Amino acid sequence: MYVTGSMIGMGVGIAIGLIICIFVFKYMNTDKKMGTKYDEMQEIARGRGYKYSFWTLLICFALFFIFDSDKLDLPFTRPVLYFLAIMIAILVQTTYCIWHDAYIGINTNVKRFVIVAVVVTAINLLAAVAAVKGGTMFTDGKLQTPFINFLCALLFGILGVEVLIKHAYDKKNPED
Amino acid sequence: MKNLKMKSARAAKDLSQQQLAEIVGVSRQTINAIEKGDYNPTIKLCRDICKALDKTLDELFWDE
Repeated sequence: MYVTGSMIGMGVGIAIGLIICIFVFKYMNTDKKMGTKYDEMQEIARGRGYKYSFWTLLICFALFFIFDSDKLDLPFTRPVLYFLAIMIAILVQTTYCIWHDAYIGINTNVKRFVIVAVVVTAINLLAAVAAVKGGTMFTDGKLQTPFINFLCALLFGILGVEVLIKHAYDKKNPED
Repeated sequence: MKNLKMKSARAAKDLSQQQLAEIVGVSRQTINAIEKGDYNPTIKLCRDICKALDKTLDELFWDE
């Protein structure tokens, strides 16, 4: 197997991304710790969320495996297709957790979480727009890897909006 | 089944759900779910709530 420059670049990018994640989590949590704390009810709800997310991922991969044949040519490259399945599974897990009060931990600052969601959405959206302008988003009749940036922006945008709606709902019904 | 005993014990202590949640180290939604009867807490959380409200397990969590 040849190790290409783009593979090294991707590896370095992921490593830098993980290091940034540590600081982002420390920023989002009120106790400045990296780990987000959840109480027992939240842990149970999160477990259910992971279960639904797991089955969603299996179904997505099964469907993509069926439709990604020579006869049915999907307008995505394989990496985009895999990432799309992962994104759908993440969306299922996070949406379930948000609406079952298990996404925002007991040490999470909601305002800071929304700020992070907005920043991540903006960065990915900018990268996607740059790819469209540079003509690298859609080539050979398929959506290329930069489409992943658009998917990330979409995911974080949806998450941010969901968290804000849930937060507003909870404030409206403080002790129902 | 709603846990009205816990709700009234909390009110008697003049604590909001948020305040009680902070004392026992859980989210406000968890306290709300316990009072509404939507969630059965573990014995550890029951004990923490009892200590915070100066009540016994029987007084808050036992149905005759």
